[in-house]
Amino acid sequence: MRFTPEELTPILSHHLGGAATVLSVESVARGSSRETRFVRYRLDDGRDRNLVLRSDFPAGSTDPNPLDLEYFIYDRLNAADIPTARALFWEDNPTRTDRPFYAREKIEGDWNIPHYSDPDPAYDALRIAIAKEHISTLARVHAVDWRALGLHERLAVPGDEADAARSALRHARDQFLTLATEPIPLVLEAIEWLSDRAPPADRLCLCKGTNGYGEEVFREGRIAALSDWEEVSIGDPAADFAFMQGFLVDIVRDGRALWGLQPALDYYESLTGLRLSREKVQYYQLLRSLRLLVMSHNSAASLRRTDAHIRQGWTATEVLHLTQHVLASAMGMMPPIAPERFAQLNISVDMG
Amino acid sequence: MIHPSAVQIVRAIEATLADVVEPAMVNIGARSALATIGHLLRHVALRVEDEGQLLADDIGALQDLLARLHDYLDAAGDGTQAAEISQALKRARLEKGRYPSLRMMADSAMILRQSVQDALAYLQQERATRGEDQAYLAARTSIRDYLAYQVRAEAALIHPAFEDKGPRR
Repeated sequence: MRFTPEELTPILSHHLGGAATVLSVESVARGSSRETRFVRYRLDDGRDRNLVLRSDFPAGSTDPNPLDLEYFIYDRLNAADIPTARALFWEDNPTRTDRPFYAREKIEGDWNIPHYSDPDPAYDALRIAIAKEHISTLARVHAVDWRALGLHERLAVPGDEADAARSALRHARDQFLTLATEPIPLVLEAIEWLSDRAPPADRLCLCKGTNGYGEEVFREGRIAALSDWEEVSIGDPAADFAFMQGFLVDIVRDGRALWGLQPALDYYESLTGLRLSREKVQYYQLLRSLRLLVMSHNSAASLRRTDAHIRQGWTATEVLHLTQHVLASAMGMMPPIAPERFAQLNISVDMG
Repeated sequence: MIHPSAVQIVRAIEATLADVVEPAMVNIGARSALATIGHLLRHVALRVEDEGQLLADDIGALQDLLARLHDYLDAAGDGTQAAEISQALKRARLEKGRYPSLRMMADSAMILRQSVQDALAYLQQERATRGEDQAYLAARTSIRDYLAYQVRAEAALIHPAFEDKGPRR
């Protein structure tokens, strides 16, 4: 399956209840875990529409969580009061495609926010407003009744609040041992170390997993859709502050802290009444490093195939190494790496 | 053929992609892939130069560690686990008289590292009963020392290839 207009036209016609004509297919460059494509198509009413296709890379996904879990989450979240794209259809019929994929509606907007990265203090207010918009939307995610939506049917559910972090550690260990690409004993050492320090959750809630600049769709300064649900889990809300790309950066003017992790946590508390500690967020940053290690390890498995994506070569090398270094330094085995080193990982050629 | 070396060829490829191909590219997806290719070419050049020695050092460190773990397990009465280590050391032995390829050395290191991982998993199971035992703690410390060594050694193939070298994607 190469996702050409010719291949997709009959598939869209099958699923969308009418004769569809695919007009264009555009690949999105940024993603590292899966492939994303924007499709423009026309139904027999003559109107042009857009949708988003998600598929694994030809050699498999970077994320060990299956693609159909991502579709399941979108599908169930359609009934929740949070901004997400509507799931349209799942396609895995081998007579139509050799690579399963799903479609969701394309929400108008952009991950890129003009002037967000401009260091001019004139844009501080914009940065803070965007970050608050994101946190308030996350607070709505955390309030979702995940049992009523049936999300527990596919997501691991901790036994109770005290089990939240250990549940995530068990999941990571199971995935790591299943991959069996290359033994990395550091993973077992880190899981034990993290398990010894596992904090109880303030409450169990739906956590999005990957957050921040580049992960969501914005329109006119508001979140039009939360995207990237591939690392979704049921756990501690603090976990959602562990990876909040670009939205927790310290803004200090004239010695006054205008924004950063603590002001963000204070703002979250004002919305939810939950006081999340910095230490707990830092703990979940380590847990996310472990998860990223497992994902990078999964990339290495993809490299066994000749059709692996070049991006998987990167995650299987630099990202895999850095996640090991982060965990080793957290355990006191070696000095830490400067934060600037990690910031480099999130820069892409289209962020100029 | 001694010259050009594999590293020189890889560097020429990298420079050509950066100086000739990249400026002609307008498609973001292609530019993104090319950025990643540049980083990975530098990584490959480092591996061509250094991977053999790094693997040799790793195999030596793993053999030393496994010998210590074997002795601890044997003394602690864990005969099955000690025997598994002996078997791993035997299976990982490189053929005498044959120049080892990188593949052969990597396979050997994999067997040894798997044995360390298995031993660690076993020792973790035993922590509740042996956690205060000095010999147990020494075995665990020797594993941690190896883990730190392994990450430090691997850094030689990563940091010079990627750090401060531009967008990864």
